[in-house]
Amino acid sequence: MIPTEVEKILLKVQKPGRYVGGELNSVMKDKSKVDLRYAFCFPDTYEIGMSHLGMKILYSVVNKRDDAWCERVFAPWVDMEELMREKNIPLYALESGDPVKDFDMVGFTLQYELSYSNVINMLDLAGIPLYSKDRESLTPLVVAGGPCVCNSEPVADFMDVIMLGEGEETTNELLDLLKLHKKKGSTKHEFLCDVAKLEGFYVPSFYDVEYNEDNTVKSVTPKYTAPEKAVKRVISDLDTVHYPESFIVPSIEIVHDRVTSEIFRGCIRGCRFCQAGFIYRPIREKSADVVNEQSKSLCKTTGYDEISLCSLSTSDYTEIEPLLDKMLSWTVDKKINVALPSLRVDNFSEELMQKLTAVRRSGLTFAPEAGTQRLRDAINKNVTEDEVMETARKAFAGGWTGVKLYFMIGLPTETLDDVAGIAELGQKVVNEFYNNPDKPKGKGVTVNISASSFVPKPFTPFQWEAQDTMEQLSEKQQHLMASVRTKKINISTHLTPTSFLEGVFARGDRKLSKVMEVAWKKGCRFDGWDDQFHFDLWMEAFKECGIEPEFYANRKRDFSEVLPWDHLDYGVSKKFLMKENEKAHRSETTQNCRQKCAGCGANKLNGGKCHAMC
Amino acid sequence: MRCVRIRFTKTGRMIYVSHLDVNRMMARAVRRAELPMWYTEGFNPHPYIAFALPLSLGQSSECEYMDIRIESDTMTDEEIKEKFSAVMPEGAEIKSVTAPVYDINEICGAKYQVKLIFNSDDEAKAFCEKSTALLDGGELLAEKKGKKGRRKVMKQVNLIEQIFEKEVALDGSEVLMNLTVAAGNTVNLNPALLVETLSKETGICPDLQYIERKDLIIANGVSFR
Repeated sequence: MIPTEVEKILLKVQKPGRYVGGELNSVMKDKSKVDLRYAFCFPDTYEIGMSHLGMKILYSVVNKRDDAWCERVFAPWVDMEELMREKNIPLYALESGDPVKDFDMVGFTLQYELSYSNVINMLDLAGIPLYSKDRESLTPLVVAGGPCVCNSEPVADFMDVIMLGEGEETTNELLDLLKLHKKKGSTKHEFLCDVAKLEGFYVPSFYDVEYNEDNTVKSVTPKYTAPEKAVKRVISDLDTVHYPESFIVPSIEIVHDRVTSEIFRGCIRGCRFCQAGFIYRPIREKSADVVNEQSKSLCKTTGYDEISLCSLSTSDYTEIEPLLDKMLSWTVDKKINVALPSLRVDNFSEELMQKLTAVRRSGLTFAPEAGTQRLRDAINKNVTEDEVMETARKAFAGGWTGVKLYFMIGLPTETLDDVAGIAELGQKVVNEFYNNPDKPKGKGVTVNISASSFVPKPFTPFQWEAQDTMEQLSEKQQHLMASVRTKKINISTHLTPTSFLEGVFARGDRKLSKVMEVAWKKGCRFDGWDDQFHFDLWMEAFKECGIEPEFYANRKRDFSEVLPWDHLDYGVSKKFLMKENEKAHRSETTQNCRQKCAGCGANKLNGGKCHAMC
Repeated sequence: MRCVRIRFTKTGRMIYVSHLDVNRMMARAVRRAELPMWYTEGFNPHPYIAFALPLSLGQSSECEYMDIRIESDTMTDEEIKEKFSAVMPEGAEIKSVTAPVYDINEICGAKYQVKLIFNSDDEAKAFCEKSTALLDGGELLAEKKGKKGRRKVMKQVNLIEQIFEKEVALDGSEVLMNLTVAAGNTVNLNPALLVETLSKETGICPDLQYIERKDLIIANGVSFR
């Protein structure tokens, strides 16, 4: 229920529907009858957070338990925050309206680096001390998970426990342990000692970090019960792991307002820039029957008219055609659209295309990532120009009059010729449209090119590389714009300061927590929103803390350097990443996991099993 | 294919859901109810749903109307009500399912109950007295967004002309108003604008306000059905 104090301010803010809860399928429980209350926090707006599949899964996992109640918390937009602070309204959870600081566990999902300032802001709005060391009691326990925690060092000082990898099992284990220790009246330290022993958990305060004089990490030493390396957890069998039968259906429009059906985790491709392609390994598929049944149930309970199949590189799913046949057998009648958001150009068939347009036509997006073959080889995006052209031809013949192409600029080994290659490839796609003898009359073609800035990420072969400076990126963006000679091509790019800050935090260390606190005090939050991003304030914060951000973003590391995330084990071996890095510099490709196992090492997380090899 | 008129409420947290979002919400509700909906026959087939008079954000209502078209002639109104009721979210309750009687364009007025809560009894009393005087006068001007051709302009309107019936009562620190005002496609008075104007004129602002739509009416004060 909404507190009366909140009711008084709701009509003074934009989109009050973000702050009231009560949506269809949200879970209400009697708080006097549960042992554990878990506030699941997404450090961005309601519309972004409610689109996130991981939150839906974990919300359902926890609420299946009788002894625990999981509620949702999002970052209030700046107008709401201002009024909440003015009226002394603490951050509250949407289901009960109760203050977050009264919960037993407060968990943040870290999906992108630019949401870190919101994490701090939310802790402060909740009235919870920011630093782990300042929170003496066992509860509220502040935890974090999500892809960004593969290098959680920049936020490590704020967190009591970090959950590495997939959370369906670890969330329950952590709650079980917390319940036990709460009952026993344990101290926080006693509890953490037990947590650190479990696989999939990282207790940052149990590791001492020492630095060299040149500011690089000298050593990370575990203490108490902490292992040398904290290891990521994976779910072994996706067919039996819990998947929600219903999603909360938001009453206001959110970003991804549809059913999301997960079909597999991991990726066989090994594109060298892609963090997701490495940290979600090994590949594990869900069977088509299970996906089909889960999709059916979700459509029934939500009333959505669109299903999006979720995975990396969806068309690599071994059962994609049978799955689509199964789904279309009931979705067409119900006017439900099936969308595949992640397609590759090298296995896009006409049959697949027809199936996608069975109800209504959605957009087509492909990601060649780089403009020339040499650079595509260097980043191991195993796609040829012929394949891009063939796909464009099929799409145009199939009635599409526009495609969206994703590229990156600032990739390692990139030259200005590679950048110009993006425009040339775009032009060839435009020409392909006009070469089609059956092209629709009176219609032009639109090729939307999105050229984002490459940010080197941990656990990728490019984790040692220097990120292009803001000047280099701007120069390349301008070069790209200048290389386009037709109005049929639209180009969008990212703000370079945003990419720079993302790069700093992606490969940062524990020294950055202070910078974050200072920047937040200056008013930084919602850094991922261009209209809220204050680069000048961030630069002031770095200066005041005596830290050079370029050290993290624009410096090439030696293979011998201790990386801030070396004490975390995500399965993929460092040796493999080094080998891949060397191959990149020789513009040599690596075959995908189904063609030949490259020996990345991730299968050890799953008892030696990897679906790519069976 | 036949047309069905559904009356539903909008209460509690649902009042913070905008008209556009209610539209989307209902489209999903008809899917969950698995009604044999009639679909439009365009590139993007969707069920036919039409709403009477949108309600402002933050106001509750006992009388929201939605018309849908269904394919089946055999399904009774009672069955539709049952199926629908089972899938509605909190705050949107199905009151009735009937065949439409009047055209949506016939709506010309609406009844509202307004409850204003003040910080003190004195404030409420002062507001009540001053407002009654203002409402009994011949003119109460307010600025309203309007259009002149394609341009958006601010227009001055006399709110008194748009109030058909009024009743103002004081109850401790609360002021209660029962209003029948102009509503519909041509002239429409939002009670929130009236409250805002009264607050401005009297210099007294309520701490909290609840506005509830009680009924929609057509000519001669007949209830819309």
